[in-house]
Amino acid sequence: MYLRALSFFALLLLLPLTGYSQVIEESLSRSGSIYSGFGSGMPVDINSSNTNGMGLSGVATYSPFAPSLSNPAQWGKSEFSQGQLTLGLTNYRTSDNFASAQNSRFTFESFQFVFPLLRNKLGASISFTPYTRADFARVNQGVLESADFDTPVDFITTTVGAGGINRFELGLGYQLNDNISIGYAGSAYLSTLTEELSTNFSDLGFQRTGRPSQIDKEIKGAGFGNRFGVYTEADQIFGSVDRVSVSAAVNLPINISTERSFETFRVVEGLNERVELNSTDGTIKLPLEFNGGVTYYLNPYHSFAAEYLFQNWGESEFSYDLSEEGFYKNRSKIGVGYQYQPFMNQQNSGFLSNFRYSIGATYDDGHLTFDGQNIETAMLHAGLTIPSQRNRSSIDISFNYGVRGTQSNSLVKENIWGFKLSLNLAEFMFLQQRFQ
Amino acid sequence: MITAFMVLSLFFSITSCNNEGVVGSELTQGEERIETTTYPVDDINIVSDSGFAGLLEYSAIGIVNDPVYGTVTSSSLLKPSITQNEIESFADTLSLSLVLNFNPERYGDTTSTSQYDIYEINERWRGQEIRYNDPVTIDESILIGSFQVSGEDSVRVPISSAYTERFRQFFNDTTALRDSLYRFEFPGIAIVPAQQNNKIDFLRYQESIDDTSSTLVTRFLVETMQDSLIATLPVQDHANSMSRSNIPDNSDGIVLHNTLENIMNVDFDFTQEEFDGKEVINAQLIFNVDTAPQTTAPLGFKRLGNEFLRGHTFDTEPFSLHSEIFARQAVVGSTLDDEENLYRITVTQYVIDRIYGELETTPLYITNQGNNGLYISTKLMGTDAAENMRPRLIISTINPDN
Repeated sequence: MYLRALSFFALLLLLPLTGYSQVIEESLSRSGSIYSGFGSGMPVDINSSNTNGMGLSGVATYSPFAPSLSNPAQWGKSEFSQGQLTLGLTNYRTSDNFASAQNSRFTFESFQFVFPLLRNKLGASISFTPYTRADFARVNQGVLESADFDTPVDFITTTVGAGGINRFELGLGYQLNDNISIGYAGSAYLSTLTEELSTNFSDLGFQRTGRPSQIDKEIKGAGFGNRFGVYTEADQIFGSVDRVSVSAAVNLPINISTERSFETFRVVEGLNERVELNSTDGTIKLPLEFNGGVTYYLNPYHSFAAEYLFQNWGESEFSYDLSEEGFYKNRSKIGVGYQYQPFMNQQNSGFLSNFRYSIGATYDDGHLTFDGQNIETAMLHAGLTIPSQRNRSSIDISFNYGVRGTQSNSLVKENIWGFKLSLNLAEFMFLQQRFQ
Repeated sequence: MITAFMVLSLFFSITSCNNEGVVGSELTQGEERIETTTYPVDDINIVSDSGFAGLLEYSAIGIVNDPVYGTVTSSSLLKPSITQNEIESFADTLSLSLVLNFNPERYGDTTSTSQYDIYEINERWRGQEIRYNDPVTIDESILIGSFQVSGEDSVRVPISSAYTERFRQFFNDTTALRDSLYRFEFPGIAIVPAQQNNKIDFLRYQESIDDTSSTLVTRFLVETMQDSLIATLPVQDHANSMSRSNIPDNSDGIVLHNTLENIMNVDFDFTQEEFDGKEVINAQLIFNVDTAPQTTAPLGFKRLGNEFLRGHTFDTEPFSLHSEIFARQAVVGSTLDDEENLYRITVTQYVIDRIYGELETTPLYITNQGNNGLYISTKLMGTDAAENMRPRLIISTINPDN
């Protein structure tokens, strides 16, 4: 008990360190997907920690060992208070027809706390998750030519993007009966998209005070969202111990009113001052999202899941750059997965029987298209869950490997592998165990 | 738990950043962020003034009839020093002569021979106050010396015994008022060109020393009757008495003289709105040189080449423009691009201050070369010249919105 509590707080203490690691890395190189530099960033797959190993959101996969991020309806089934924290490490090896680069990124994935208001009837959730993430470094080089210049001036512009849109969500789930649960969550979407544009010139006369020009861009704003979920399950479908769950969640479109500003340092009349180049209001509209899935439990040890995610990015808006908005397209993602839970069988005694194993595959046709070429992502996933022997806490470790994009049409191909670690703590602040 | 963090640590240790080039440069186009825009510069005026003509590095003597820049007549005014470093008294047996050291570059018909006469100045010495186009009066009734110059490096001219005798009296004066009496009462001499001259020679007054040699300057010699050198007396004070006349119409261009007779005043009229959302990274003021004066010059006629332009700005309009320009460091400048025959003056900070600043800064005052006693003029293409030759401002900006 005390060990778990200490572990949880240790993880909380690690949060600032994750931020620190990001700061360190910013000075070296941005390391996310280059495609996150378009519009409001790359959409983040919000998976429940127990289904990360399948690469699925878990909309139809309920686990008493981990709270659900994907379906508010599952919160009504909560028996114990649960908390979850997920950290991730993703490596990108990017290449186009001319060059390649490799970078890594350590990220905070999500935090969630679910607690039952009425055990197995009404549960509430509070969570903080990224919705989109911009995390990239772009380099453009060119030549500034004029008949009046002594020589053409070469320049290199480095754009380092960071931030994204984060979701802070509060919601309730209610179990209507043994077969149906419903849920709702209201959320605040907070946008903080930043870019540092640094330009070096071959002619020092273009670099005032001998330093490259640096312009900071920031898009800040907030909007409100609504998410609904339904979870249905039925048992004894094809046999005496099987069970099936069919569930869906809908996230309504979100309008985020934002303000974009460009700032830089400028020496005016001998004074170095930070000035705002301009500031404009705009709108970021996030898409309607439908996430549906079916999970079939052959028995308590074997389960199969299939999911479909649709986001109508084609109707989304990024008013600051209509050309980037033009790259948006509707996004569909499908995935299948399998989980094996030998630890549920009390008669298994081998070491390998202490875990849950997950594998899965996903295909995402992407939310961006360039000249008709979709930025697709195909991934394989695997995971290992280490459940507690004494309670419903667990640790989820998942791996994924895949490919995004292509080198054709002057695009960029990204070979991605990642690692996620989730800590799921259940009932750690409740008295129930003391009575056991 | 410990295992999980060990795995995470392992992943940290095996990952690194490794860039082998620019990935995705064709995916994103950022070149259009940098823009270069040409603005015509129409608000140009010539301010007439006259720079100081005393105690400069050179002193000009001669007459030149320049078909572009007018007739320049210049006499050199100078006065020997009465310093007693080398001799304590000027004996009756000693004579005085003047050694004139010339700048190798001449202005005008360099093939001609010039005739010069030396007279006394007919007014109280005011060497430090003399300005161009402010000639002093000369007593041409008493000739002190005369000489001719073709292309020599130096000329030695004996000074008349009458003038030497007057100088001896001041030199040997032992009263307490010796220095002040000499400064105000003893007349300097003027080296005056004969009217038929068509060349200007420049006397050297500033010694330049390098590793191998030192350049001698104009000075006086104290000698015995047998021409044995007893002492060298430096020139205590010197100045130019210069006037320019018969100035042709140059309204098709912009004429600048390093004597500060013509000072260019350039003003820009920008609004912040024009640069809204942009960052000014470079601004260059371009002036093309009008090469016609060079190509139409008579055979053998040479001018001293102009090599740079400089610009001054002031917080408030100066009371004495030539004084401020003479005394202050230029804020901008440009050397001549002799291939393109133009000047590129980087005025980035000035433009930024004009666009975003709150102070009422003055326009940019542009002068040529430096006021050093040489006569250097240049003609720049004016606002009515061909579009690609007019004065223009090239402003480069970053527009992060692109």
